[in-house]
Amino acid sequence: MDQSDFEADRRVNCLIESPVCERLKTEPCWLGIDEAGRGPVLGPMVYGICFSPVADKEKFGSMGFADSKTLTEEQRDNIFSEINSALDLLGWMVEILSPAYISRSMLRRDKYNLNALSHDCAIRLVKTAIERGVNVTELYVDTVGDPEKYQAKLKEVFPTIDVTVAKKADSLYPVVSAASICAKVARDKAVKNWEFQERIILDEPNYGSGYPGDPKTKHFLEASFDRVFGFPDFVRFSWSTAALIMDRDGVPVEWEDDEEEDGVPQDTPTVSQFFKRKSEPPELKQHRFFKNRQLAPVTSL
Amino acid sequence: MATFIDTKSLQSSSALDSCHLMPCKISHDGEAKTSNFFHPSIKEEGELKTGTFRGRPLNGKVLNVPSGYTGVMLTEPHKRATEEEDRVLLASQKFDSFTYWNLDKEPSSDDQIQRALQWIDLSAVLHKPISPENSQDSQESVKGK
Repeated sequence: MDQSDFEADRRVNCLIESPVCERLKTEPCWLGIDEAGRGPVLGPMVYGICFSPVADKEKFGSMGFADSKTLTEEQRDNIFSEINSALDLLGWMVEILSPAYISRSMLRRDKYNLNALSHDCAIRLVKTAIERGVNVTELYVDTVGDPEKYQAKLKEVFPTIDVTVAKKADSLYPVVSAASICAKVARDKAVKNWEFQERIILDEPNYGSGYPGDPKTKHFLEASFDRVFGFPDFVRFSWSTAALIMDRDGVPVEWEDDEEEDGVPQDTPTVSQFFKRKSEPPELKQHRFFKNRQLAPVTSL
Repeated sequence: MATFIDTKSLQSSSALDSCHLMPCKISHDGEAKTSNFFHPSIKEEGELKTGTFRGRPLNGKVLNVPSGYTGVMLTEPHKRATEEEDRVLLASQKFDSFTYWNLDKEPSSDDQIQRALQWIDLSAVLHKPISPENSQDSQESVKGK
């Protein structure tokens, strides 16, 4: 899988796709969606889709796709080459969601949560397949969040397509298994070939699975930590593991949208204050022109 | 209370070539690996910039210090104990332009820093010495009201 576009700029998302043969445009197709790397605190999350003519479901099923998690990396790579030698039967696309994109999205002013982000990416991929001319009639998705709500959302966007959202869809439907293999191969490659633009030197080049519980991942997080900036952008800052380390070992940083400690404004006046006799002359106040602009006089240079 | 600014140390120093006004308070005083972490995150599209700090999205723009003025970085070596005491600030660096950053919001003329700079033009008008010709004008405009 050629990832040179992503490698040119790892801070933005990247779409990689197979050619789409004529059959996929004329015959009704089923399309499977799955993701890889949703849980890890490190690296991109990848969404994958795979599509094939409904008429060839049996042939497709005999290709021996299985849930990517039950396969070794080598098996996945082999199956992925098989996928690429069967492009008269199927097509695939993956979108690499960069960890910097995930952090930026989840840490915006109005938070964009991971479920919404995942749903939008899945929808974007299906739309792209349709734009390329793929005649999608059936959609199979491994659930993210509540399956019924996800199903309703997809049904609304794709009213003419038959939508199936199921738990463990990646082991039930070979077209979803194939999508999961494409996604997983893309994620593994992106993680393996990661280059740090932050010029971080690691004593231990292996960062483990990327899951917060993995000792190698923990070690990487500690070794790459900077007290001011936090982590390299390989790390998802929005994960609680990362946020906890920044709170514990980092320099304190306050943002204007930080939540107030106790929600109640400190200087709310009591009613009686308005009826008090004003004994002293009011002090000279700065005009609000200056207040609004945070300007203050300096008396001597 | 009064505020004093000590600019002695500026006489010999040259202007900083890169200066950033961040939309957050970073409780750190000293060196930081900006060229490793912050600068690679910056992208430019025309005069607008984007960047990230601690994973959060920032939008920035370069502002020039108006001509005739110098931008200075201030430090406060001794924090005063009460509001009544005088403040003494030390100017440690100077700059001619800087990038100001908003948190997830495109820079606009509504931003506090851009509005603060309006005062420079206004104060020039307000404090301009009155010469015979233009005093005539202002008399009339007052009458006209």
